Amino acid sequence: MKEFLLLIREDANYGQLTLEEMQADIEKHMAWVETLIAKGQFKDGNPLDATGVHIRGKEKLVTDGPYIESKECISGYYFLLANSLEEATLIAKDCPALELGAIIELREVMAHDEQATE
Amino acid sequence: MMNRLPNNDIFQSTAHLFRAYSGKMVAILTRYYGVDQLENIMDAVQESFESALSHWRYKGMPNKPEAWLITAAKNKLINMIKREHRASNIDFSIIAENNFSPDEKQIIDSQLQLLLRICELKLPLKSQIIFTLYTSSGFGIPEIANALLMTNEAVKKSIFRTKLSLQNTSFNFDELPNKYLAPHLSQLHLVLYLMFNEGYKTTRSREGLNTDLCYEAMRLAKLILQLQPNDAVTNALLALMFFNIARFPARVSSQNFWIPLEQQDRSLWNPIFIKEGMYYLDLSKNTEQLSKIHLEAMIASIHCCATDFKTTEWPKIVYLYEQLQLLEGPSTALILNKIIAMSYVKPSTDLLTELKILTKDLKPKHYFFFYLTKAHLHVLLHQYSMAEGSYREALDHAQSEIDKQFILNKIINIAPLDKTTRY
Repeated sequence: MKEFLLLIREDANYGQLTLEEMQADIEKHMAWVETLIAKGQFKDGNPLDATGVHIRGKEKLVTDGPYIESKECISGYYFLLANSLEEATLIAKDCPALELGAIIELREVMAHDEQATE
Repeated sequence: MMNRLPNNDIFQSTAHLFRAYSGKMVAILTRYYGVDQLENIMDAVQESFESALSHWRYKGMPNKPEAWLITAAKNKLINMIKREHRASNIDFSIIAENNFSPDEKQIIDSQLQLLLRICELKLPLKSQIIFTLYTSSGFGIPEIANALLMTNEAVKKSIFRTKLSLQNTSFNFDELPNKYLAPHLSQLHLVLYLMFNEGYKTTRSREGLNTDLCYEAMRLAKLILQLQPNDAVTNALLALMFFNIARFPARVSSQNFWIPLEQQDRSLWNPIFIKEGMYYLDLSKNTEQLSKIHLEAMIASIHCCATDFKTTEWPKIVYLYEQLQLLEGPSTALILNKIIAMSYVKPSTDLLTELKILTKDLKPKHYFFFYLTKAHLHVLLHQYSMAEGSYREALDHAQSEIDKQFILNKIINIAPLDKTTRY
């Protein structure tokens, strides 16, 4: 099994949703994660706060985060387990955040050289 | 491991849990922090759901979602109040109260008090329905506008006005023990009754069934019973609502046609809801004084008990309409309903005479139902061309597409009969 980082990038303006839509979204996510757990494809996941800072280069210049103009940001991440990027892509396509317009970035976590990668 | 959503209520589908939570949170926070904070409270509650959305997506639902949400909302509210007070240099130490763990009884109590408080306001019933949906049912402004066929702006204005008059009332329900609540319930019954009917009515004017309002009205009626389980009118109200909602699935065809009682597929009626209706009807009989709602529930129960249209006990229904007339005074809608019931006992030209008496003070809002009834009588009396004339009159007064379709269908169906009598 390989490990993949799934980053969810979206305009986290949930305030536009009705309570019903919010609930439906949570239920979809929970069902999705439950399926992943059942298949042994889930490792971890966490939401990220929308506010944060950006620290840049040698000057260590601190700014209010990268997305000044837009509210779009990385709202959370999952660690998935899959045999290949293709398989991980299939899993990620079912992520319910996509239905609300999110952009998903999927990256394989590089194995250490000394580890056997099969 | 994640927990599934609790679902211990027969009609409270999971889709409505957030709404139910929202009503509870608004009520309990209003009780603790006062009605003056309502605007902040509404915002804090909304934000707590947004937090839930980002956390629960990844971690699943906490063991006690309700407690999680209330704590989140309370903390957000305290922060909001602190921010406001900081600007005005007021001591806010009193606000940050630590021992905040309302029990279920307290929450229900607060919900009922908020509902009663809204109903005590000297405001149009529609404003009361809107504000109830807004505070107690977790409906957002677009949802209310959609459910009541209003514009967002109109809903916003109504909410704003209600907020103002709520802040100007001095009525203190905290001092009102539960046993004295009963006299204040009748206005709440009326609001819930109309909320339910609004759901039914708006269903007529657009596609699909608008059951959300109906379910909300039922949920709130059940709330009253949690504190006043023996209240006869509340039980009757729930019975009536269950009987009506049980028959919803048979009322509209897949092509969005209105299906009259006579042609409804009764196997589509929800037997569990009918049983629930019977259960509450039974509980409602625990009184000396029958209300309008009791009589309406009994009429609905007779329809629900009939295995087919022909075996409906129409004489009983006529009798109940007569009782309603004694209780409420003769209203046009009531008399029209009674005439229809009588026509199924025995169609006769006398009924047309009775109908004619109504014409002298018939109001425009009754035209549609009046001509429909007239057409119906003509059909039963085999006077098909006159029936068609009345249907065409009704058509002129039909408000919605579904009603127009209903009548056009009727006209098409009597056209061949019309010819056979003419020649």
